[in-house]
Amino acid sequence: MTRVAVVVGAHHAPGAACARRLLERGLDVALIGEDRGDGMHPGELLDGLPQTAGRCAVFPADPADSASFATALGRVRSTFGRTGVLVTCVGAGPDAASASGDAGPGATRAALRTLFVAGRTAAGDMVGGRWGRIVNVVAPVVTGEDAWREAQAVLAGVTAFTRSVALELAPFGITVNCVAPAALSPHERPSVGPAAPHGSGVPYPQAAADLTEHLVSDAAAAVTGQQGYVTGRLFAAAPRAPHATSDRGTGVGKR
Amino acid sequence: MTATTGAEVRSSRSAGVAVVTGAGRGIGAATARRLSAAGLSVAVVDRTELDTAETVAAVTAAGGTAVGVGCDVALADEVDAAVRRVNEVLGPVDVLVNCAGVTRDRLLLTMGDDDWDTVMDVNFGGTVHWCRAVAGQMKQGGGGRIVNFSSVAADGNAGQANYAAAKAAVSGFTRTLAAELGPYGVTVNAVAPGFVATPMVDELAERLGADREAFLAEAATRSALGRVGAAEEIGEVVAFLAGSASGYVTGQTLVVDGGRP
Ligand SMILES: NC(=O)c1ccc[n+]([C@@H]2O[C@H](COP(=O)([O-])OP(=O)(O)OC[C@H]3O[C@@H](n4cnc5c(N)ncnc54)[C@H](O)[C@@H]3O)[C@@H](O)[C@H]2O)c1
Repeated sequence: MTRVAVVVGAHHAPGAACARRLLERGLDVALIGEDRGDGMHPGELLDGLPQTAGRCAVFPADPADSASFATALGRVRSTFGRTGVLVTCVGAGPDAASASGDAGPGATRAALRTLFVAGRTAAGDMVGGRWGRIVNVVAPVVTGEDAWREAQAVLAGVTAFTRSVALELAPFGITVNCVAPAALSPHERPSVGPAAPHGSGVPYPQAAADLTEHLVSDAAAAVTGQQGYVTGRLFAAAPRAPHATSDRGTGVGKR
Repeated sequence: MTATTGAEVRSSRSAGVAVVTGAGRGIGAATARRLSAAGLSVAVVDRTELDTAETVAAVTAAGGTAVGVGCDVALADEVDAAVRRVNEVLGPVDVLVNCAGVTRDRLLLTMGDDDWDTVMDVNFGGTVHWCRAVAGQMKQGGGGRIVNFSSVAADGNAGQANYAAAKAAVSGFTRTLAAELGPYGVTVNAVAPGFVATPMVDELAERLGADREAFLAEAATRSALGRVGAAEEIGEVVAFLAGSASGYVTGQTLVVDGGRP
């Protein structure tokens, strides 16, 4: 198993949870994304982890832009080494479906383009090593009753992309899977009672990190093209506290 | 096309106005002819007005009403202008069929940004633009029918990561929009064809350097019925989803692929 993981979309709670879990497992984690000040804090992700945790650094880039992402990945290579694990966490919806909306297909288009650019570029790195793990994680942007509705286009696109690319990359020892909240499954029906079927248990970001940890391990070599629906609890993201700037930027943090 | 006399077509002319994108040829053309036979006035939309001429001629020759509209569905402005033209010439839209589609097959590692964007922007973006542009008038009119085009490739297909993602997104968007427009009496469904003999697959065979007949024969073995589909058969399913008989069906993607062998 490789020691270098790229995490895209760590500003989403499930992306951050996956990054922290991989660090805990001793992988070096490169956070690629726009440095928007949310979730991209190596110091915070490493906080409380043991000495055996990996190194963590931010590589600012537009993950939906091929040139920008390729440059960032080149820097990851020279800092940490060849990428073996890619976790891409993309937000799900909403697109402007109704006549009143102005945004058009923007949300789905942006999420899927990030998946494509990150997946293609990182897979190029993995092919040489003939080993790789790609996990695409769906992060609901809308919570509450509208979450199911607003997530459908992205969720379906992520699934189809994952299955297609899994078929292509299997000969190179690269697995591709995706993780999503069970409550967003197209087969899910609105809850009829107060005890929502997926309303209990661990929070979704933690559940997504649990499954991702398994999917990137050697033990999951025979799992590819699959979609893992996890029954973690969906919750409205709590506003994050402002952070000191000292643990930000591209410096490599190490516990 | 369903056998319908001109008199029958004209007598049921009040059936409303349908827009069919990608109707210049293939499944879209067959769908436009079929909806016209059911009595709808049809806006035949394709990349240029010239591309629509053959279908418009076929519809009018059979006694129907059709207008050709040139519009790149990937561009929201062109879609808005096309809707204005349809409204001026035919009236408010009752039925929208988003059939325009393209493929740019490549393996992920060699897929260019343009391959990704074009397939996403035509298949998914075009569908969203058109739905958004007519949803308001359907709500105001007290109902409507939207039929989008997905594909069996949405289950995942090597060499089609772009097309699979775009078509799956269409199915997901169809579920979303059905939930959103259901309270207004608008149904939104999708059709996912399997292998249908159209110019799209002719071009694919040519690109692969395959003999057309051998290509179709091989595809036929991948369906339970042992044959490929005809554009007219897809048009029949669209006509069902666009008609009154499907009033309680919404948010679904109907696979029309001859079954799994
Ligand atoms: N033929 C098949 O086997 C098959 C299988 C599954 C899904 N589909 C889908 O069914 C639909 C129809 O397919 P077909 O086989 O008839 O394809 P086709 O290529 O024969 O016809 C598609 C039409 O869409 C038009 N079009 C393309 N881009 C456009 C744009 N930007 N703006 C406006 N018009 C545009 C083309 O000019 C053409 O007339 C497509 O959405 C396709 O993806 C086809």
